[in-house]
Amino acid sequence: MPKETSLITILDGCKSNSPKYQKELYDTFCGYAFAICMRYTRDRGKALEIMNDGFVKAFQGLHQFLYPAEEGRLSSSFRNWLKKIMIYTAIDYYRSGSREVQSLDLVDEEKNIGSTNSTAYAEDQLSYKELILMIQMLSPSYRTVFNLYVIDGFSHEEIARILGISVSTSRSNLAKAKEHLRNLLKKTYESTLAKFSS
Amino acid sequence: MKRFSSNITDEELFCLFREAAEHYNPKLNDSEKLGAWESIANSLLAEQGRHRSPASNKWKKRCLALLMVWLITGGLAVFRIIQLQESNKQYALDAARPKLVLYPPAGIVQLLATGPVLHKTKSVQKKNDVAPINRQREKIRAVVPLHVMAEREGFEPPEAFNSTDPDVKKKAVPDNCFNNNYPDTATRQHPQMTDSCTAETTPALPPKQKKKSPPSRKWQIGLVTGLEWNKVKRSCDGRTGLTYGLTIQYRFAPRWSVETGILVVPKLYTSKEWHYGTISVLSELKSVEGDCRTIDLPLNIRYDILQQHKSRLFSSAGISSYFMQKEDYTFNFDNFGTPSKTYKTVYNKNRHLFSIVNVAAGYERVWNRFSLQAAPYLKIPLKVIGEGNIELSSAGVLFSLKYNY
Repeated sequence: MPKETSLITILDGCKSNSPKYQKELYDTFCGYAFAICMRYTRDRGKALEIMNDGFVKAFQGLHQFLYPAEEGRLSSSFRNWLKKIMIYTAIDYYRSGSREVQSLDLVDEEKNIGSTNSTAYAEDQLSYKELILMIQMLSPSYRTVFNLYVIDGFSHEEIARILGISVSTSRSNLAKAKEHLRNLLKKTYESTLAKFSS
Repeated sequence: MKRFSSNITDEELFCLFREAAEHYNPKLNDSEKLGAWESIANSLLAEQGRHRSPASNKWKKRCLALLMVWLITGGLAVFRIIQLQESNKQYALDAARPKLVLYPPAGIVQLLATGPVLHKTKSVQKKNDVAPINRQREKIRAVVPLHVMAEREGFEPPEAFNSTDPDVKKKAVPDNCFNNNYPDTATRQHPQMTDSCTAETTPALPPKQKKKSPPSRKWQIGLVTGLEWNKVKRSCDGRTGLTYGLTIQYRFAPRWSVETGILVVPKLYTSKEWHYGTISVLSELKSVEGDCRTIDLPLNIRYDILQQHKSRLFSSAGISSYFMQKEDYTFNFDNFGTPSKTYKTVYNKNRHLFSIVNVAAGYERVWNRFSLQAAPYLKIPLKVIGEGNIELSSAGVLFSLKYNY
């Protein structure tokens, strides 16, 4: 988390279109922004595209970002603001029709889950990366609703308005996403047990 | 992380993935990071170029508008100069117009040489019969020398004229018989000589011109107040504010003067935009209400189209600089159906030098050293202003009380 005073300096510099401060802001928050984008798409390249577009929109609309009155809240306030931009950019991509192949054949992706590459790994634990990978494996419509509702805190009514669907469709997609994730968790747990019991 | 089971509840499921999202921190390798930044930088440059070009077109339009104003003002000035030249030319022509010269026939010359002769007959002579002749003689004294007249008319001057005796010659030639305004031979006229001849011999006076006294006092200082209405482009709502200030004017030519001053102008407006660029994502912003206390420093050139002794009709054009002292903004949001407000205040941040074109026309009434003036005006922005980078146009009327010295 950058210091409050330095972040103010960076943001003021970005508002005056200074490339130096824009680069500094990007370096500070690119990891955070990329993590958000990775939840909304399966493809790493697509996630980078979403992140790039999101940052362009953030720089262009930085004049709309209002510094909070309370001290010490600038960084969290800016992160929330940036997060919203990344989410809406990802949704724009989703609505633009650049659909991924909606494959329910998760065999190949499932192999990545529970691999020996995960670092924080114990007998009955999954890494954060693998959990996110599970989210990525969902179909775009399920994944988007799940991210918006569960992780980003939108209501079904808000999701319906954003995505242009009905509230019932939003609830239905969430239910299906939960079901898929439970199945994935179960398979992963069973394969992990099998690996360690053998 | 909690141990999971097949009977994991929804809440536990949600917590699991929320925790994962919070701690998930994917790494970007250097090439990805650099490539992404280059893409962002190029997009920003392209976007700035796109925003610049319409602004440059708007700059051209504003310059054209200013040029039109100057052309109109200059045209009026040229028209007035031509009018003055025409009247001067007419005056010169009138001054050069040939005077009617009386060339008396030989009989009158004889009369002049010998003096008036009274015919003492009852039926003829009255006292006033002599008067016309005397009047003519007086007039003739003002015209052509006798010998020149004789040469031109082809008559012989009286013998007394050629006399060497000065007394005799003096009698022959009337006193002061010289013409101070000797006409051109090509244009002289020869009226018939009669008793009642009253040929004009005095030079014609130029037609009496109405002399307009140019303003002699060069400096004016004035107190100004007025109303101003402000509107943001592409926004329907405009708001009105009260203006006040001080102006100084210097007259450097009979009809030209330069004016400057300091005006305190509240820029009140409502805008549906607040941007440098636009973000379709942040569509919750419904409107922005701006209340900006602004110092306006104008620099205008004024031309008096009509000048009377006590009144003037004028037009002026120039350019203004804005110094935003305090900007108060109220943002009205629609947070998915729930209205909310946010406030922002900016102090002494935005300055816009020579960014606004002023166009005005007005009427001034003069009493001795004081004058009252009313001038409707228009202010056209050459670039975006304020914290919100908006195109703010203004229109209003200024009333001035001026002191001339």
